[in-house]
Amino acid sequence: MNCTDVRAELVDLLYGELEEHERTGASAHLERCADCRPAWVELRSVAAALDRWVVPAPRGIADRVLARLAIREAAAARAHGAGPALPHLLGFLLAGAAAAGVSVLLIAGAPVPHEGLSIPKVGLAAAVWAALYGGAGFLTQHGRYRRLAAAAAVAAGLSVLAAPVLSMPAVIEACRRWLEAAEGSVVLNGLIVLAGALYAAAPVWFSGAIVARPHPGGIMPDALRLAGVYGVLLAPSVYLQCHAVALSLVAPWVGGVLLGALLGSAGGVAVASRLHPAPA
Amino acid sequence: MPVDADEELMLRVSQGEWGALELLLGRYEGPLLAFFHRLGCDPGACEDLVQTVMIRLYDERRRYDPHRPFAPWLYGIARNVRREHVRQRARARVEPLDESGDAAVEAAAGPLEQAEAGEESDLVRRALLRLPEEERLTLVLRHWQGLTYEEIAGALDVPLGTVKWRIHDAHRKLAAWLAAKDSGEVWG
Repeated sequence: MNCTDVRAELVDLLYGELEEHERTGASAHLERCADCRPAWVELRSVAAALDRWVVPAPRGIADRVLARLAIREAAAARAHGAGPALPHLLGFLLAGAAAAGVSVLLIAGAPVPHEGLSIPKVGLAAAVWAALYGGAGFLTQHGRYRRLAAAAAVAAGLSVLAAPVLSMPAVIEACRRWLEAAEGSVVLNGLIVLAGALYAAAPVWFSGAIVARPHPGGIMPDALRLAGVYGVLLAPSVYLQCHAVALSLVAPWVGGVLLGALLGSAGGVAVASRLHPAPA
Repeated sequence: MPVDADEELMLRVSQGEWGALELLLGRYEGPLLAFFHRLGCDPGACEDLVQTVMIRLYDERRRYDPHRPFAPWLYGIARNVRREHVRQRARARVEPLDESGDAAVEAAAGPLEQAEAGEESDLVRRALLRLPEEERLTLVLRHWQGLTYEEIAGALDVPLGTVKWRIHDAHRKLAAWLAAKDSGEVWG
């Protein structure tokens, strides 16, 4: 490096903006060049003078801003209804119950035998089913998953409209045959549960990832998490539904639906409060 | 205990975590106040501008991309806030935001004020105020706020070469002015 090159880079050297080899070259040049050294000393003295400029320290500005924002957020919460209030709870409870009700009607019409189903099993399946719908409803309103969950809900709704509803009995029939074939085999039954998990999770992941708007943190990790939760929770329910539900079992199903919607709503409140805490 | 990165805190702010907002605002309270001071505003206006930036940070929290560095994003907001404030003051036909304005500098450079200005901080302050606005802003971001050339280019939305040129030019002028001051020459 010659003197012209080095002097042109002194400011960049001062601020650590040179590549390693440039920095080494410039430093070596300054050590041996008596003509360039004064320029470097002068530059550092200017920088030192700048460093000595003392400015006033802040006095509680952040605290004042936080107080102001807290008041504003509290006012906004009052204006929009503070969090998941009772009307919200009822709304999601009804939505969850309605969704589960539709599913039982579809299944109840299946012209297949339904031996081996107990009332507790049916109630449990319905509770899980409704809790998931209720919880999904909350996610559409609160926390970081709301855009994703809303998009997934819309896409899932459209897919229900477009789905061949009449083929549902055939699906259940096929599922029932798998269960019969898998009787006594833990591995094959496990595979059916896994298929149920994928059946539940795939539409959520797909619709969320494709339809939801990008947001900080990225859609894909959130879509995977949400789909994972759906898959794990819904798989047992799907497994149970490989047995058709007889009309005589509608009552425990509806009971389970109400219980599940309630639990799902309460769980949704807890999750939403944690993800979206009210300002202090 | 590891300190949370600004980007991580801002992501948590965007997810509604109040504690992360407290940490982030506490962390940037001093740097933002110093930023506005060094750009030349009076103490009262500086505090107002810092508050405006902090509130805007909160309002814009969902637009923040956590894959990009936080500080340039924040100083981009700070720069816009100051610009708007200067415009408002100009429309209101009151004195420039920064007594920093050229008129104030010239006044401060008068014989009486020069005689009174013995402190080095004041000398540096007045030298800095003589720089063109964009050069001063760029130098403040590099020298005191610690942004890299690349981050400054992102914050101000200008080419990297422009950032580099401004910093070099600012240093060249400051060196000349401070040297002239040392040798007793009158600024003008």
